[in-house]
Amino acid sequence: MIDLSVSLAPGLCLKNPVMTASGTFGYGREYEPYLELDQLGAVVTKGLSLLPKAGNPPPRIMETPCGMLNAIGLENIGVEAFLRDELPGLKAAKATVVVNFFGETVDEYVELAGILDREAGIDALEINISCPNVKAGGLQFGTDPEMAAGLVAAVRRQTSLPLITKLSPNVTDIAGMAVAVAEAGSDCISLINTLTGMAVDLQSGRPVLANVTGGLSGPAIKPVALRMVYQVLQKVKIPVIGIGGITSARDALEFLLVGATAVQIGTGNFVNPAVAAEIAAGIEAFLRERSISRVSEFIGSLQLPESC
Amino acid sequence: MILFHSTVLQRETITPDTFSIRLSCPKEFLQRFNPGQFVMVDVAVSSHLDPLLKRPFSVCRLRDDSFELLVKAVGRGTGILQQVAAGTVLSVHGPLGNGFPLATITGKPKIMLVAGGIGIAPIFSLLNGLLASGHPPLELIVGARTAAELLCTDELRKRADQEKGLQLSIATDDGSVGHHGLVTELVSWQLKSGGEKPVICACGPLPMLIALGKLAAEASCSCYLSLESRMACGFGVCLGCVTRKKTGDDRHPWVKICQDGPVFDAETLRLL
Ligand SMILES: Cc1cc2nc3c(=O)[nH]c(=O)nc-3n(C[C@H](O)[C@H](O)[C@H](O)COP(=O)(O)OP(=O)(O)OC[C@H]3O[C@@H](n4cnc5c(N)ncnc54)[C@H](O)[C@@H]3O)c2cc1C
Ligand SMILES: Cc1cc2nc3c(=O)[nH]c(=O)nc-3n(C[C@H](O)[C@H](O)[C@H](O)COP(=O)(O)O)c2cc1C
Ligand code: FES
Repeated sequence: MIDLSVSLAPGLCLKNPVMTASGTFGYGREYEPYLELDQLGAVVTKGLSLLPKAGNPPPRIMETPCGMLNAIGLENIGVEAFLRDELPGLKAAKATVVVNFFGETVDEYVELAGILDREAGIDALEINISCPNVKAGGLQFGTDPEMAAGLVAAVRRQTSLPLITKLSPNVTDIAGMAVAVAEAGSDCISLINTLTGMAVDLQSGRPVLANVTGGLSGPAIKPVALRMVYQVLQKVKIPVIGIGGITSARDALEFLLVGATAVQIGTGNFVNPAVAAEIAAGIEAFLRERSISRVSEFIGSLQLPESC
Repeated sequence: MILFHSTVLQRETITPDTFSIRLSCPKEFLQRFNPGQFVMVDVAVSSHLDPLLKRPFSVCRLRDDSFELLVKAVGRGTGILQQVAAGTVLSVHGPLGNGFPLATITGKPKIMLVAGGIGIAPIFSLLNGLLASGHPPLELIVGARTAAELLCTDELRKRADQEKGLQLSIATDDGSVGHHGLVTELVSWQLKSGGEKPVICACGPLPMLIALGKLAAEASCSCYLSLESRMACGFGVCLGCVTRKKTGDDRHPWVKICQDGPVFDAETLRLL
């Protein structure tokens, strides 16, 4: 037996390091035809807000070389509908549930964290401080270390649930952001959210997305994500979850090698809805082949050149 | 919806930019399929995950062990499919979405099927479904820019000759065959000519669908439209394919084309 379990926070132990990324896995049960939700490390839900949110008008997506741009604009059903219609099914499926959430003000984040904190069946919260799509939304929190720290500290006071802070890559000093939110009480850091991008149509002379700009995801961003995970791990001691362009067990193992305790699979779920379970199985097979009995022994085993 | 590996059994050129492609599938796929449903097809044939996303296509016809797509080459993904060799294995996801409501439409006194260009694909599978299951009188109206771009017309003519209850009309923008003008003009005349009120089922370019929705509303006919959009997932999780519904409010304005459609009752949408 290979021990695939990883610990992200006191009270948050995953049976394997493979999670799903917010906004790419619906509310979870949409994937039941393709995989067993309890075979995943955790299911991370679509980002929730206090009230339902309509998001941006279409066109909302565009494929780009080895990636895609999205400007969904954080459309979601709102916390009330989630707790009523979605959470019971996730619990019944015995999934480990991480709820991703966001607000437009500190007060909204805090109120939402309070509501989620009272609910049984939620295993952890992931606070999205980094959506590049919504003009009024989280952008300022995700790019300013002081504001991010203030927000995380306020949410921290409101909940005893394990707290993951999800970072935006659209900053010059990602490690500085990580230090700020770690000091503010985040148990764990996940990164990266999408990179801001744009596509234009020569034929029509217009932007492709109705929102003009969108977030880039998929294999194209993997090298950036790996670099950022590496840089953050130089500066913080808390566990890091690697996200960005993971579509295979090899991709996931690369993040673990660099030192990520767990990974999240995003855009890859669209292409192959069973991929998250396949990646968990692939990690196990790799470790068995190498005669490594615990994934924790592999995590962070990257050999750096002497000069680093 | 099933996720399966499918072998390309045959690919046939139809016009310089359209082709049919026959893909193997499990029995379960054939049993579950309803006309109007679609599949997401992997187009990363020679390079892993490049292009990244699967592409949506309506199923045009079912065979004993396979199904056929009718595809127009418009970009990179469809260009790759146009060259794909028999024997190639592709990942396929489907059948997806909701097809045409067969029980509802066969209950009407008359059915009008309308296809513009490559929109013939789902209409063809609907026609086959209706012919196989018994149906009220059928009026089939197909259109394209030119005679050379009309698809499946030989086969459709043959069907119309064999089937008493099936009448075929053709329109081309340049008048090279059939009515010189738009399919919507033919529809409009039919609706004005009196007789039984038909139910309209249509697929084609968006302006055609919008015009049909209006004509149907004016004539108080029911009308089912098959819509398209860029899609990342095809099964309701990415929220990339939304369009505005008629009765929505500020917080719930959308339907998902992949999951709530692609076939919609025109009355439930606000297409403009
Ligand atoms: C439910 C559904 C059913 C469809 N059925 C068929 C069918 O039976 N036969 C067929 O030939 N095509 C069908 N399409 C359209 C087909 O999916 C697109 O033509 C295809 O995805 C284009 O891929 P590409 O890589 O070749 O083009 P790209 O290089 O991605 O784009 C080239 C051009 O195609 C347009 N386009 C891209 N994706 C779509 C899309 N999903 N819908 C409409 N336009 C798009 C773009 O605006 C662009 O102008 C269907 C689409 C949907 C949503
Ligand atoms: C369509 C789409 C919607 C997303 N929605 C959210 C969201 O609601 N909240 C969030 O924190 N991240 C969201 N993300 C970002 C992903 O969770 C992930 O961080 C990013 O896509 C990078 O991973 P990937 O390359 O594996 O997709 C979304 C991404 C996509 C593609
Ligand atoms: S294509 Fe993803 S929700 Fe419709």
